[in-house]
Amino acid sequence: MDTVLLLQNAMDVGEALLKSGAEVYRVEDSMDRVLRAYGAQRVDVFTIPSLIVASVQMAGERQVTQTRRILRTATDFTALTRLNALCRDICRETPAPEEIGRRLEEIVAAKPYSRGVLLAAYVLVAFSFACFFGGSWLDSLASGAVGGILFWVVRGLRGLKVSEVFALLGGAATAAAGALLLAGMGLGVQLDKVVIGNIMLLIPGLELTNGMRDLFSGDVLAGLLHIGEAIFLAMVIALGAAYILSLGGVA
Amino acid sequence: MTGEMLKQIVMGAAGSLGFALLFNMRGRVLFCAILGGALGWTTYLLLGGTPPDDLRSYLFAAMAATLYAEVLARAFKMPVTPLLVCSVIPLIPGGSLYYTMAAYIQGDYMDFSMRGAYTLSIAVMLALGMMAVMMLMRVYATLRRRRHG
Repeated sequence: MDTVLLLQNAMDVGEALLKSGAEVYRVEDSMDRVLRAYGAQRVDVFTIPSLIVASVQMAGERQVTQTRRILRTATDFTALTRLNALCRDICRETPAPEEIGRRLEEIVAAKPYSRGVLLAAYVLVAFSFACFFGGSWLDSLASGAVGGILFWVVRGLRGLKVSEVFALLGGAATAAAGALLLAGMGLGVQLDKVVIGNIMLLIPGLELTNGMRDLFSGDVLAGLLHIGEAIFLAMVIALGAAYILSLGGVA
Repeated sequence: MTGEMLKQIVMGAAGSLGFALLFNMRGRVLFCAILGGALGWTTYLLLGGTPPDDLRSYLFAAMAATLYAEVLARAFKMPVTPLLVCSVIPLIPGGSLYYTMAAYIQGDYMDFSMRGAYTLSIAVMLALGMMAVMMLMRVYATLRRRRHG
């Protein structure tokens, strides 16, 4: 068997896992199991949220190392679940490396929800959390409308390939501007509820949860990176909203 | 259970549904994500307490949501993260975070530090609750494996 090709396929699986929203320890553990299932004598995998490094040594062969830089992640829990099952299948069946690639392709190529559904999800989250945090029905409707705008803004910014930090900053500023506009029209819309409903959309809950799980698994470096990222992003969101609100004379 | 409480539970669950859609969850897992969101907030409401004396309720609500996610994930043979993230979303102190920020831009540093400490405390409670259950589940899984293996 071609070790380089095997490692390449294992890296593809690891990369797909990390991008879909797996914890770092899951990526390391999955790749380790997969490579050992093929009889690797020594496996060293090191992962942080933005990088995977893996070395594998087969009996009587030289060690092979590959790295992957992870630039962009797109949380997809259906893919995560299927990738997790794929790893289990690979360990049990040890298919040819080409077969791993084929099954992986199948998972990655699965269609995500349509744009309409995602837009509806933005509106739903903004609407329900404005209501959840004590807003009136009017506040919630206003929040939902701003959430719809937020969807296009965040999507547009991500489409421009700006960093996630900038996309969230722009999103938070948009949420605040939209809220100021609707609250200033004299309909009785409460500014705070509209901003809160939309801030909930931007909060990096996944980074925080995964960071915690990594920390707990003993992966302190990866955990701190995730949690640091989450705290930083939360501050960026607060800053983006605060800047616009103070411009709008809320201070 | 008052109407206001029921409204909050439904809206919290709707928020969980929205996030589950954004995270591309489907089928029974999507449905379970909605229930998880409702479960976390129902636990919080049943334990009672008004801010800022409701930290204990956040702790137990986080524990309930994590236990729910861990048990279901094992049953479905899937990672815990998807159900966990969606179940704790209504517990995330978005409102408190906003009022902390608002106090800051209004230059009310007394209020800022109080609200900031409260927001941070909620986050710590959520972390503690999640970790406690994760640890218990892991110990339980290891013990069970040892007995059967």
